[in-house]
Amino acid sequence: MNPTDRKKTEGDPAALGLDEIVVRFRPIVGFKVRKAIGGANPDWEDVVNEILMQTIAKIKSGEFRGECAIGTFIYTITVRRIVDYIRQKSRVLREAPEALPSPDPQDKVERDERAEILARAVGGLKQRFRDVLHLYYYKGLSREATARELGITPAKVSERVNYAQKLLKKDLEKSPFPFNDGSGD
Amino acid sequence: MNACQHEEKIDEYLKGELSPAEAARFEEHYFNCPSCFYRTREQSELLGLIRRAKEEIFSPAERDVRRRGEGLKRIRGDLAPRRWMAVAATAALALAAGLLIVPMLKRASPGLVFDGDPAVRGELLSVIAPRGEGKAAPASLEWRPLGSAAEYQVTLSGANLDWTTTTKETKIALPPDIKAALKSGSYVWQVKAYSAQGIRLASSLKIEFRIAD
Repeated sequence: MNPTDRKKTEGDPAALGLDEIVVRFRPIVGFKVRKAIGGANPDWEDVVNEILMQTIAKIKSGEFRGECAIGTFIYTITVRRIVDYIRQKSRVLREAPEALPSPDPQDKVERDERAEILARAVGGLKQRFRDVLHLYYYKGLSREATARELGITPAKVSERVNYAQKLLKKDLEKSPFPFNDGSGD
Repeated sequence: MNACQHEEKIDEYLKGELSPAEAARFEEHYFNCPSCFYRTREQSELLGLIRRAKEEIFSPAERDVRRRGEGLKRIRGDLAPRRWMAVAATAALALAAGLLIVPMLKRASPGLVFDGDPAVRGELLSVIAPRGEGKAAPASLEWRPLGSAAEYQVTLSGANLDWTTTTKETKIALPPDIKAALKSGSYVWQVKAYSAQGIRLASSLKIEFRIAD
């Protein structure tokens, strides 16, 4: 990152155009919103748009004075909007449960294809890397618990996880459906 | 993009191991740090894929490889240095002969063998129709032939449909009940080619087609 970029990200309001804010922060806000309310929730895009519109309105009205980084300012708006959304939603859900959105066949195809590529990539790893992925990611054990299970040090767990990740990412990037802006939900 | 010291927190954040306050601090950080954000997003995707995967993909399917390694160790231990040199020379000769003979073979091995799956995949089947959007349900599914295939397995799925069938031909007419079930919407189909021994030789991509409203 060059010094100009750093200045822009960390909070120089004058240096950031509104369009640039939207372009730069849409994926970040989208990720946080999907993580909080679920990627399958059809409302997530609306919530993101509201957050960005609110951000622009606040900047225009001079509410953002550069006392904190622009990212922190947008993070605060995002968290508040998510809390409001969840509150509103729980009120609605108490009255009438909402039907789940129907699955998109194209999404299913992509998911299946990527799952197949992942299985193939994991199959190509040595057993010690598969074991660490299985315990640490699949079973969700902590680094320390994984280390105890495998009889290695936590540092060794990190080392194996990082190495396995690199190989898997390389294979997934070659797939017809490389990483997108999903939250992994 | 340079690495950031907060990257160590990514896994713990995604796995929900951070306290709410730590998680909030990390989130605020990635709102300000593009490097951490992109890595978090990428890692999240990978973690999601791993968590949705079938558990058997992690099981030891490479025992044969390990056994091969152990066998080699045993051989190495059993052989005296002079015999070891003789074995190495024989192996080198066999390798050289193999290198000469293999290119002369008409057909190379089709490709990779996957663990726990008897499939051998090396080629891609290409489909002819349907693809894209049509006004009515297609009458048939058609693909290009694969010389060595004895049978094809066809799957067709959509919102309310999941149909699989096999055929020896390279075109299959949709049965009336399946055709009737194809209402407006998106559908996906795929064809896989199998040898006479039931080994998968090739697959097509999953092709989407749409029936207009």
